[in-house]
Amino acid sequence: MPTTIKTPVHHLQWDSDGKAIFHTADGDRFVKDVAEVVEIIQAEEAKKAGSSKVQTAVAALFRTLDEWILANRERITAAWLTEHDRALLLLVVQRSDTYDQALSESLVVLDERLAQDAEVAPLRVDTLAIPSWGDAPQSTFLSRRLQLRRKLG
Amino acid sequence: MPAWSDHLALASRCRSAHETLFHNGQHSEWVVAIAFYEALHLVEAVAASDPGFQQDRAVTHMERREFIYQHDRFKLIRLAYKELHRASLIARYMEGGSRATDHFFAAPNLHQLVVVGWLGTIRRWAASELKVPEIANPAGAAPAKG
Repeated sequence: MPTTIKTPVHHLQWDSDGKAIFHTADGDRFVKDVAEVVEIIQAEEAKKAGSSKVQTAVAALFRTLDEWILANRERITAAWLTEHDRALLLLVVQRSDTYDQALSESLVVLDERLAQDAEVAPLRVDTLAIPSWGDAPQSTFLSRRLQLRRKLG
Repeated sequence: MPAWSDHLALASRCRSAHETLFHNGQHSEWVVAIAFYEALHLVEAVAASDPGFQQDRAVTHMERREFIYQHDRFKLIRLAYKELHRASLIARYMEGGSRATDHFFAAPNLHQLVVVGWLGTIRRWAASELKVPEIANPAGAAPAKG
C-alpha cells in the first residue's frame, strides 16, 4: 500500500497534453500519484495484478480516455475521472442539456474498447454522461476520494 | 441465486409498478428508475437461464456491467441497458430530480424513449432469448401513452 497518500481527497488536474503528463519529470510523478490513488481505490484488483501492472493500466487508460475526449470535445464541457460503485468512472458533462444520442453511442463504443483492452484489464472502469443541468451537475457523482479533472482547453 | 423464472416475475412486478405511475402522470423519475430495474431483471433472467453463465453471475451493478460487456450474447442490448441505467442515475441523483429527467429526455417523449425505446429493445431481446414472447407483448398490457 503506498504511504504517500495523506488524505483521501485528491483534487488533481488531468492536463490536456497527455504527452506532457507521461514524459516530463513532473508528469511522471503526477501519473505515479494517480496510479497510487487507483491502487488504493481498487485495492483488491491491484493486489491481484501487482503495482506495475496497475501503473501500466492507468497509463493505457489515460491514453484511451484522452483519445475519446479529444474526439468528442465539442459535445462535452467537462470530463472527470472519479470513483463510483468500486470502479473508476469517466464522468462527462454534455454540452447539450437534452439527450445526445451520438454521444451515448460513442460512450458504448468506448466501454467496449475498455472492456476488451488487456492492458486496462486490471482496472474496473465505467463511463457516464450527464446533462449540463444546474450550476455544478457533476457534484452529485464525484467521489470525495478521487476527483481528477481533465483540462479541455 | 434466483432462478430465471424468479427474475421474470420481478420484471413483471416492475412493469406493473412503472406503468401504474406513468398512467397516473406523476413521478417520472421513478418511472425511469423502475423501468431500469425491469431491464435489470430481464438481463438476469437470461443470465440465469444459461448454465454456462452460473460462474459469472453478477451481484453489483458494476459486475453486471462487466458481464454484459464480456459476453457477446448481450451485445445487442448494451446501448439500451447503459442508457436505462444512466437515465435512472440522472433521475434519482441529479439536482432537480423529475424536472431534470423530463428536460433531459425531452418530455413528453420521455416514455417513448425510455420505455418503448430502450426497455422495448431489452424486452424483445429477452423474449427471443428465453423464447417467451409474452415478455415483449404481455397479455392485457395497458397501452402506453405517447
